Amino acid sequence: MTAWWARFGVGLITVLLMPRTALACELPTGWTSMKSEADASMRAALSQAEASIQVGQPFAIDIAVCALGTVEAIKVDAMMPRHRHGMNYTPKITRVSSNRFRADPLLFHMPGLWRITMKAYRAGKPVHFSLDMSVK
Amino acid sequence: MMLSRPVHVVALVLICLGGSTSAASAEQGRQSSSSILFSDKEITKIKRHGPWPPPLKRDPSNKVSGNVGAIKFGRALFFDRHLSKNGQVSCATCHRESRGWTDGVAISKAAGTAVHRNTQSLLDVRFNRWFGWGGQADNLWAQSIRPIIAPTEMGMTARQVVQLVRRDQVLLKHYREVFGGAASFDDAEGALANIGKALAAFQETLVSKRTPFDDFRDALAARAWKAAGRYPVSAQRGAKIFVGRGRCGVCHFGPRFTTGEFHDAGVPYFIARGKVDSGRFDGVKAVKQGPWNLASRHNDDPKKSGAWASRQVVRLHRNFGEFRIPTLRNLAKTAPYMHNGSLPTLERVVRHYSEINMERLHSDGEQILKPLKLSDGEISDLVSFLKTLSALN
Ligand code: HEC
Ligand code: HEC
Repeated sequence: MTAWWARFGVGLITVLLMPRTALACELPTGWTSMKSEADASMRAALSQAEASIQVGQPFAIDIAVCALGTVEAIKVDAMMPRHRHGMNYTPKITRVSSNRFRADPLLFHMPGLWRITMKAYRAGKPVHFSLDMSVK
Repeated sequence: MMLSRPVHVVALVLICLGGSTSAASAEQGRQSSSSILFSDKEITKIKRHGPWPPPLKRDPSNKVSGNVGAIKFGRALFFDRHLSKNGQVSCATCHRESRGWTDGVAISKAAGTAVHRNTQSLLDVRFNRWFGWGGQADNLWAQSIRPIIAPTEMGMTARQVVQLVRRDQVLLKHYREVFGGAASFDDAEGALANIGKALAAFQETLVSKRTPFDDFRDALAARAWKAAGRYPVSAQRGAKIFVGRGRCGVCHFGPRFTTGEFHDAGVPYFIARGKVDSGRFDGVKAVKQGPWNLASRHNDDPKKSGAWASRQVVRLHRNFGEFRIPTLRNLAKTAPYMHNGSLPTLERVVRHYSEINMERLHSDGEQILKPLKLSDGEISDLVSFLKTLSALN
């Protein structure tokens, strides 16, 4: 039986170190982090800058995912939260490397606030990410 | 946050300074209303509706796009009545230049049987991503083949079209010159694609002229307030409603006043008892199956660069009753309006938006379209604005 403080101590150290040591990769600098309800065991970032998106024009995004464990696949979509409608197109996802994906095309067909949503599947279960962008 | 307010007020601009005489005369002495204030935000939104014309690029899917011989051949085909089964109908029967390349009627009966949609203008058609009210084609040449073989329009078969071109000495000469002496007629689908491409080359030349709005927009962009003040004052007030409270610019976006996509604008889509025009819903299906779409072998672009659209577009339940957001350029010549030609005047269109029937619209989230409850004055201002989106002459 380990003493409670020893177990607590090990747990604390694990939690403190996890984001740095456990995630097998680092997110590219200059990319925008996606928001997630998830734990520190998975993080994601997106390449596309808001300012470069034009209403009605298709664009591709690159997504980097760093996770504890393997991410088998991702799904990408976008919607306008205020109008509750999505895109008219589904992006094709290609895996660029072990932790990079490309979604092509996305198309924001109206000016206003859009939310890009991403589900990253680990052991068959999705972890949800999102990023809001306003296009003019 | 607090700081941005005063800055904003300072940024207000008196448009009619120095321009008040011409503005006043346009308004028949309504001096008091000749100075319209535009905020920076409004100016930014107005600027987005230009510049005009946009750059003209050749169509990579059409090997004869921009080719002088093809434009001539296309023109000859466009006005040729032999291209119809009864020998009475040419493209120009429904697309008349004097009416902005439309026909002025709600629904055409030119071919005997009524089609169920209003004839679209061909001005600026080269800039489209989708063609037809339902977006049933993803390129101009495919859309140009459609009426020739549509039973309710020109009613030909692919074979008959090929026979016509082979037997008509003038058309055959054109065809050989543009597509080469060896071009075979055995592949009727391919020959029809070529005919569509020549028709497309001609229609690419139909680009609309600059309008009073474009001069106003450019003057605002250059902060040339005096020049901007020459724009009619009622149209200035209309422009404010268009980019502001009316939220028209959300859908009628950019230099062409359309995002190029599809919406339900509350126009009924019943064709006859128990029959509906499902609009974009059928359009998506048609474009995906179309033998001449950009994913087909008839696309001359080795990279098939435009094919993503028909491949990746999804067919959604909400597409039912959605129609392509029309351009608002050249409205002065293209009445009646809407996909079924049901509204005869621009005033009726604006009243439609002012009193829009919410029960007809199917959408859950925050409504983009809501009854605007415009006053009579505001309605005429918005109409004045819409009229300035057509060239003078
Ligand atoms: C009987 C009348 C009629 C004839 C004849 C006709 N059209 Fe049309 N045209 C229409 C109608 C109606 C539409 C809208 C079609 C739809 O949405 O289904 C249209 C749409 C179009 C469009 C799409 C414009 C856009 O903005 O997407 C093009 C291009 C076009 N026609 C070209 C032609 C050509 C080329 C011919 C001759 C080969 C032709 N049309 C003959 C009635 C006609
Ligand atoms: C939600 C998107 C949307 C908004 C917002 C909107 N429109 Fe439209 N507009 C459409 C669509 C879609 C059509 C075609 C509808 C149909 O035929 O069923 C249309 C048709 C029109 C037409 C007819 C054009 C033609 O050639 O037939 C005019 C004019 C017009 N709109 C003006 C306006 C004005 C003015 C406003 C603001 C008060 C406005 N629209 C707001 C989507 C929109």
